[in-house]
Amino acid sequence: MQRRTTEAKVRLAVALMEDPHGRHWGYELAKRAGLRSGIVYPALTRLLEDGLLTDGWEEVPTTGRRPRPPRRYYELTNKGRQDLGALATEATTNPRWSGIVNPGLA
Amino acid sequence: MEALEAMARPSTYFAAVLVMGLLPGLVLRLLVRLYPKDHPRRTELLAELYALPWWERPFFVAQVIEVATCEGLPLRAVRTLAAARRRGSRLAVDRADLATAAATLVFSGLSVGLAAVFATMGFVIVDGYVLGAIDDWGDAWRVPVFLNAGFGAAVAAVDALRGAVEIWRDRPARTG
Repeated sequence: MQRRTTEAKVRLAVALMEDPHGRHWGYELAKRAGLRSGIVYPALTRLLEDGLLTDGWEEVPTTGRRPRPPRRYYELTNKGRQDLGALATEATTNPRWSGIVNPGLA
Repeated sequence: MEALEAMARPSTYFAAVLVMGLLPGLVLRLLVRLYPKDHPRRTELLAELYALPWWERPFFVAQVIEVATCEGLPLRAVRTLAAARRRGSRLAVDRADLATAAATLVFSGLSVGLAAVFATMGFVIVDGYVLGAIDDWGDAWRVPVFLNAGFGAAVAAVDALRGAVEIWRDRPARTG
Protein backbone atom coordinates (compact mmCIF):
# COMPACT_ATOMS: atom_id res chain seq x y z
CA MET A 1 0.00 0.00 0.00
CA GLN A 2 1.34 3.41 -1.01
CA ARG A 3 1.60 5.67 2.00
CA ARG A 4 1.12 9.41 1.92
CA THR A 5 4.17 11.67 1.92
CA THR A 6 3.89 13.56 5.16
CA GLU A 7 6.07 16.28 6.60
CA ALA A 8 7.25 13.83 9.27
CA LYS A 9 8.36 11.36 6.59
CA VAL A 10 10.22 14.08 4.70
CA ARG A 11 11.92 15.31 7.87
CA LEU A 12 12.92 11.74 8.76
CA ALA A 13 14.18 11.10 5.23
CA VAL A 14 16.36 14.22 5.37
CA ALA A 15 17.69 13.26 8.83
CA LEU A 16 18.38 9.65 7.78
CA MET A 17 20.07 10.67 4.54
CA GLU A 18 22.56 12.83 6.45
CA ASP A 19 24.31 9.52 7.13
CA PRO A 20 22.84 6.96 4.73
CA HIS A 21 25.14 4.10 5.80
CA GLY A 22 25.22 4.82 9.52
CA ARG A 23 23.27 3.64 12.51
CA HIS A 24 20.49 5.85 13.81
CA TRP A 25 18.79 5.92 17.22
CA GLY A 26 15.16 6.82 17.77
CA TYR A 27 15.46 9.80 20.09
CA GLU A 28 18.56 11.15 18.36
CA LEU A 29 16.65 10.98 15.04
CA ALA A 30 13.71 12.81 16.62
CA LYS A 31 15.98 15.63 17.72
CA ARG A 32 17.76 15.88 14.36
CA ALA A 33 14.48 15.78 12.44
CA GLY A 34 12.92 18.34 14.77
CA LEU A 35 9.99 16.02 15.55
CA ARG A 36 8.35 14.79 18.74
CA SER A 37 9.04 11.23 19.85
CA GLY A 38 5.29 10.58 19.56
CA ILE A 39 5.58 11.03 15.80
CA VAL A 40 9.01 9.52 15.22
CA TYR A 41 8.58 6.08 16.80
CA PRO A 42 5.35 5.18 14.96
CA ALA A 43 6.90 6.57 11.74
CA LEU A 44 9.96 4.37 12.24
CA THR A 45 7.67 1.36 12.66
CA ARG A 46 5.98 2.18 9.33
CA LEU A 47 9.36 2.55 7.59
CA LEU A 48 10.39 -0.84 9.02
CA GLU A 49 7.15 -2.41 7.76
CA ASP A 50 7.75 -0.89 4.31
CA GLY A 51 11.25 -2.39 4.18
CA LEU A 52 12.97 0.99 4.04
CA LEU A 53 14.72 0.44 7.37
CA THR A 54 16.17 -2.47 9.20
CA ASP A 55 16.79 -2.61 12.93
CA GLY A 56 19.07 -4.30 15.42
CA TRP A 57 20.47 -4.03 18.93
CA GLU A 58 23.86 -2.49 19.59
CA GLU A 59 26.65 -4.38 21.31
CA VAL A 60 27.40 -2.68 24.60
CA PRO A 61 30.95 -2.96 25.96
CA THR A 62 30.88 -4.69 29.34
CA THR A 63 33.96 -2.85 30.58
CA GLY A 64 34.69 0.83 30.92
CA ARG A 65 31.76 3.16 31.55
CA ARG A 66 28.72 2.31 33.63
CA PRO A 67 26.86 -0.53 31.93
CA ARG A 68 23.55 0.34 30.29
CA PRO A 69 21.05 -1.68 28.26
CA PRO A 70 21.76 -2.02 24.53
CA ARG A 71 19.94 0.48 22.33
CA ARG A 72 17.91 -0.38 19.27
CA TYR A 73 19.37 1.06 16.10
CA TYR A 74 17.91 1.67 12.66
CA GLU A 75 19.77 1.40 9.36
CA LEU A 76 18.63 2.24 5.87
CA THR A 77 18.19 -0.67 3.50
CA ASN A 78 19.13 -0.34 -0.18
CA LYS A 79 15.47 0.31 -0.96
CA GLY A 80 15.38 2.87 1.85
CA ARG A 81 18.45 4.68 0.58
CA GLN A 82 16.85 4.77 -2.87
CA ASP A 83 13.31 5.82 -1.85
CA LEU A 84 14.13 8.13 1.05
CA GLY A 85 17.12 9.54 -0.87
CA ALA A 86 14.75 10.44 -3.70
CA LEU A 87 12.34 11.98 -1.21
CA ALA A 88 15.11 14.01 0.46
CA THR A 89 16.29 15.20 -2.95
CA GLU A 90 12.76 16.10 -3.95
CA ALA A 91 12.41 18.05 -0.72
CA THR A 92 15.22 20.35 -1.83
CA THR A 93 13.41 21.28 -5.03
CA ASN A 94 9.76 21.08 -4.00
CA PRO A 95 8.64 24.43 -2.57
CA ARG A 96 6.24 22.55 -0.27
CA TRP A 97 9.15 21.03 1.64
CA SER A 98 11.82 23.67 1.10
CA GLY A 99 11.31 25.01 4.64
CA ILE A 100 12.38 21.63 6.04
CA VAL A 101 15.63 21.40 4.12
CA ASN A 102 16.43 25.12 4.25
CA PRO A 103 14.70 26.45 7.37
CA GLY A 104 16.12 29.89 6.73
CA LEU A 105 14.19 30.19 3.48
CA ALA A 106 10.82 29.28 5.00
CA MET B 1 19.43 36.30 46.33
CA GLU B 2 16.23 34.45 47.18
CA ALA B 3 16.88 32.13 44.27
CA LEU B 4 20.35 31.36 45.62
CA GLU B 5 18.94 30.66 49.06
CA ALA B 6 16.31 28.38 47.56
CA MET B 7 19.01 26.48 45.68
CA ALA B 8 21.00 25.98 48.87
CA ARG B 9 18.07 24.36 50.71
CA PRO B 10 18.31 20.57 51.26
CA SER B 11 14.71 20.16 50.04
CA THR B 12 15.69 21.67 46.66
CA TYR B 13 18.57 19.24 46.45
CA PHE B 14 16.36 16.25 47.21
CA ALA B 15 13.70 17.47 44.79
CA ALA B 16 16.35 17.74 42.08
CA VAL B 17 17.64 14.22 42.83
CA LEU B 18 14.07 12.93 42.71
CA VAL B 19 13.05 14.67 39.49
CA MET B 20 16.31 14.22 37.60
CA GLY B 21 17.51 10.94 39.04
CA LEU B 22 14.80 8.62 40.30
CA LEU B 23 11.51 9.62 38.73
CA PRO B 24 12.39 9.41 35.02
CA GLY B 25 13.39 5.74 35.25
CA LEU B 26 10.48 4.87 37.51
CA VAL B 27 7.85 6.65 35.42
CA LEU B 28 9.27 5.26 32.18
CA ARG B 29 9.16 1.72 33.53
CA LEU B 30 5.48 2.22 34.28
CA LEU B 31 4.80 3.83 30.90
CA VAL B 32 6.42 1.07 28.84
CA ARG B 33 4.05 -1.38 30.50
CA LEU B 34 1.37 0.10 28.26
CA TYR B 35 3.04 -1.82 25.41
CA PRO B 36 2.40 -5.54 24.95
CA LYS B 37 4.86 -7.74 26.84
CA ASP B 38 7.03 -8.79 23.90
CA HIS B 39 7.04 -5.42 22.12
CA PRO B 40 10.60 -4.22 21.37
CA ARG B 41 9.65 -0.62 22.20
CA ARG B 42 9.66 -1.54 25.91
CA THR B 43 13.39 -2.26 25.89
CA GLU B 44 14.14 0.37 23.28
CA LEU B 45 12.68 3.28 25.27
CA LEU B 46 14.37 2.21 28.50
CA ALA B 47 17.72 1.85 26.73
CA GLU B 48 17.30 5.27 25.12
CA LEU B 49 16.69 6.79 28.55
CA TYR B 50 19.91 5.51 30.05
CA ALA B 51 21.92 6.63 27.02
CA LEU B 52 20.78 10.23 27.58
CA PRO B 53 22.49 12.75 29.85
CA TRP B 54 20.55 13.09 33.12
CA TRP B 55 19.30 16.61 32.43
CA GLU B 56 17.49 15.46 29.28
CA ARG B 57 15.77 12.48 30.91
CA PRO B 58 12.67 14.19 32.36
CA PHE B 59 11.94 15.76 28.96
CA PHE B 60 12.37 12.43 27.21
CA VAL B 61 9.97 10.76 29.65
CA ALA B 62 7.44 13.55 29.07
CA GLN B 63 7.56 12.80 25.34
CA VAL B 64 7.20 9.07 25.94
CA ILE B 65 3.81 9.68 27.58
CA GLU B 66 2.49 10.52 24.11
CA VAL B 67 4.26 7.59 22.41
CA ALA B 68 3.05 5.07 24.96
CA THR B 69 -0.53 6.36 24.99
CA CYS B 70 -0.97 6.66 21.24
CA GLU B 71 1.06 3.64 20.12
CA GLY B 72 1.34 1.28 23.09
CA LEU B 73 -2.13 1.41 24.58
CA PRO B 74 -4.06 0.54 21.38
CA LEU B 75 -1.61 -2.30 20.61
CA ARG B 76 -2.00 -3.65 24.11
CA ALA B 77 -5.79 -3.40 23.93
CA VAL B 78 -5.92 -5.22 20.59
CA ARG B 79 -3.53 -7.97 21.77
CA THR B 80 -5.40 -8.43 25.03
CA LEU B 81 -8.70 -8.75 23.22
CA ALA B 82 -7.25 -11.14 20.65
CA ALA B 83 -5.68 -13.30 23.37
CA ALA B 84 -8.92 -13.36 25.31
CA ARG B 85 -10.86 -14.40 22.22
CA ARG B 86 -8.32 -17.12 21.38
CA ARG B 87 -8.86 -18.54 24.82
CA GLY B 88 -12.54 -18.47 24.00
CA SER B 89 -13.49 -17.54 27.49
CA ARG B 90 -16.60 -15.41 27.71
CA LEU B 91 -15.45 -14.11 31.09
CA ALA B 92 -12.01 -13.18 29.73
CA VAL B 93 -13.57 -11.44 26.73
CA ASP B 94 -15.88 -9.48 28.98
CA ARG B 95 -13.00 -8.49 31.25
CA ALA B 96 -10.80 -7.50 28.32
CA ASP B 97 -13.64 -5.48 26.78
CA LEU B 98 -14.16 -3.84 30.11
CA ALA B 99 -10.45 -3.03 30.51
CA THR B 100 -10.22 -1.54 27.01
CA ALA B 101 -13.40 0.44 27.45
CA ALA B 102 -12.27 1.66 30.88
CA ALA B 103 -8.84 2.74 29.63
CA THR B 104 -10.35 4.54 26.65
CA LEU B 105 -13.00 6.16 28.80
CA VAL B 106 -10.45 7.38 31.34
CA PHE B 107 -8.28 8.83 28.58
CA SER B 108 -11.17 10.46 26.75
CA GLY B 109 -12.68 11.64 30.03
CA LEU B 110 -9.43 13.30 31.03
CA SER B 111 -9.14 14.86 27.59
CA VAL B 112 -12.71 16.15 27.67
CA GLY B 113 -12.12 17.54 31.17
CA LEU B 114 -8.93 19.26 30.10
CA ALA B 115 -10.63 20.61 26.99
CA ALA B 116 -13.44 22.02 29.11
CA VAL B 117 -11.08 23.60 31.64
CA PHE B 118 -8.73 25.12 29.10
CA ALA B 119 -11.48 26.28 26.78
CA THR B 120 -13.36 27.85 29.70
CA MET B 121 -10.24 29.61 30.91
CA GLY B 122 -9.51 30.78 27.38
CA PHE B 123 -13.02 32.08 26.87
CA VAL B 124 -13.05 33.74 30.28
CA ILE B 125 -9.90 35.60 29.33
CA VAL B 126 -11.33 36.48 25.91
CA ASP B 127 -14.38 37.76 27.73
CA GLY B 128 -12.03 39.76 29.90
CA TYR B 129 -10.70 41.34 26.74
CA VAL B 130 -14.12 42.26 25.57
CA LEU B 131 -14.84 43.92 28.88
CA GLY B 132 -11.66 45.90 28.59
CA ALA B 133 -9.95 44.16 31.47
CA ILE B 134 -6.69 43.64 29.64
CA ASP B 135 -4.83 46.15 31.72
CA ASP B 136 -5.91 44.55 34.97
CA TRP B 137 -4.92 41.08 33.86
CA GLY B 138 -1.86 41.93 31.82
CA ASP B 139 -1.72 38.32 30.64
CA ALA B 140 -2.58 38.67 26.99
CA TRP B 141 -0.20 35.83 26.08
CA ARG B 142 -2.37 33.34 27.95
CA VAL B 143 -5.25 33.60 25.52
CA PRO B 144 -3.66 31.71 22.62
CA VAL B 145 -2.02 29.29 25.08
CA PHE B 146 -5.30 28.34 26.74
CA LEU B 147 -7.26 28.29 23.51
CA ASN B 148 -4.60 26.12 21.84
CA ALA B 149 -4.43 23.80 24.83
CA GLY B 150 -8.22 23.57 24.88
CA PHE B 151 -8.30 22.86 21.17
CA GLY B 152 -5.53 20.24 21.51
CA ALA B 153 -7.32 18.49 24.33
CA ALA B 154 -10.59 18.56 22.37
CA VAL B 155 -8.86 16.97 19.37
CA ALA B 156 -7.35 14.30 21.66
CA ALA B 157 -10.79 13.65 23.13
CA VAL B 158 -12.36 13.24 19.69
CA ASP B 159 -9.48 10.96 18.66
CA ALA B 160 -9.88 8.81 21.75
CA LEU B 161 -13.62 8.52 21.22
CA ARG B 162 -13.13 7.64 17.55
CA GLY B 163 -10.58 5.00 18.58
CA ALA B 164 -13.05 3.54 21.05
CA VAL B 165 -15.76 3.40 18.38
CA GLU B 166 -13.35 1.72 15.93
CA ILE B 167 -12.30 -0.88 18.49
CA TRP B 168 -15.95 -1.55 19.24
CA ARG B 169 -16.87 -1.82 15.55
CA ASP B 170 -13.92 -4.12 14.72
CA ARG B 171 -14.67 -6.56 17.52
CA PRO B 172 -15.07 -10.09 16.22
CA ALA B 173 -18.45 -11.66 16.65
CA ARG B 174 -18.77 -13.72 19.80
CA THR B 175 -19.42 -17.40 19.48
CA GLY B 176 -20.86 -19.78 21.97
